[in-house]
Amino acid sequence: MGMLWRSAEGYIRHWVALLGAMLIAGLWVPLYGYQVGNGWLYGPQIFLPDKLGWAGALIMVLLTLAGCYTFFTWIEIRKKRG
Amino acid sequence: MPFAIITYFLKGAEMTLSEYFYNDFYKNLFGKTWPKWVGAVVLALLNILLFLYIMPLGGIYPAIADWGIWTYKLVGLDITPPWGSLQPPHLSIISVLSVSIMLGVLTAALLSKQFKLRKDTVGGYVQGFLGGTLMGIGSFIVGACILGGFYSSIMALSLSGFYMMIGLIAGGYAGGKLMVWQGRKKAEKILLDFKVVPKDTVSKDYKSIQPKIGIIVVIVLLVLSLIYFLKGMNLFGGIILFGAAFGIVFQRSAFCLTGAFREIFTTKSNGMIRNVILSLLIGVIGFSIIKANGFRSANMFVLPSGWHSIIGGIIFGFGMVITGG
Repeated sequence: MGMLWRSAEGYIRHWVALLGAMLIAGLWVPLYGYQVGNGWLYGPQIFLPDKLGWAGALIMVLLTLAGCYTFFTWIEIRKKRG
Repeated sequence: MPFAIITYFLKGAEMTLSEYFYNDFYKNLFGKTWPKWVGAVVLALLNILLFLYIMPLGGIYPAIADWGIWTYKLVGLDITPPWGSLQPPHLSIISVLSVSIMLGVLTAALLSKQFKLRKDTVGGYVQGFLGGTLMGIGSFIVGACILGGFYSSIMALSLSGFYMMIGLIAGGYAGGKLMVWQGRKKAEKILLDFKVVPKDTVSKDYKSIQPKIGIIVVIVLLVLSLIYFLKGMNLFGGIILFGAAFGIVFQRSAFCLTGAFREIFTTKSNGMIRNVILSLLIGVIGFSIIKANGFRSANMFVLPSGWHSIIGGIIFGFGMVITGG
């Protein structure tokens, strides 16, 4: 996303990055042998409500995000306190 | 808009209509950067609406990959694309969405007089090329880029989104450390030789015409959208408007996912990542309502999850930071 964004703002370095991203696309299937999502590399598709139920999945996801929010804030506060 | 007109009449003859739009409308929207939390909330709401319309925000790398495969075709190489089947860009939802996002960013940059051709050193271009390549590889390994594989994937309650997040934090940290080292080197060089400070490549006169060009880009976007609607391709017409809205909000609120992951453990200024999480919290609730009620398939944007999601996230995170988001 940042690449499209900065390209549109006039950053020539991101035009070059866009070119790199475009050209690498030609190597994936010839080298790996399958399209993205297929073959030995990829794990199962896990939809959290299938495993935990809707309530369990929502509680887990919201708590994880809230935990991350608190943790990142704590890192920042600790740095400010020195 | 009706409120703006009413306010105008309430203010009576104190100012002209053009003065009112300049002071109360244009300057508020394009005269200053929006608060990050506004970007977080609006992007989450737009993503929920886009999910209801057709699909969540994503498909940026698959679109870029398609453009690459078309480029190979131009020189006579017929290669299978990494994602799905190859569509002509103007008939591909993801390509139209990606180009519209770019035009939306361009519109916002021009209207706020922030567009500028920024040259770089040869080393900078090489780093950009490597960064873009790494982001491509990371996207292949995860199964999607940061928007589809992390942002929309977590909203879609896919475990893969959290795995990619772990990888992005690690990759963002490694890239951030490299950037800090490069920054120190650059600072030392600037102290030794003032001539290396890049000059402003845009004159003030040029800046002053930017809003006018911005209005032309808005007209182009509307005409493109109208053409699709008139041809009966309503889905594409709507996608252009969505893409432009996303681009404008991203640019105006400087809602930068790269910066968010780069700063967590390097500068530890974590305001951006907190806003990303705020956006995710809103999106999770919206997506859950949509999926639980069957408005969209439960499996939409549920990606493969495993070690590859973490490894791909690391590669993507490192690539996006060294490219310089």
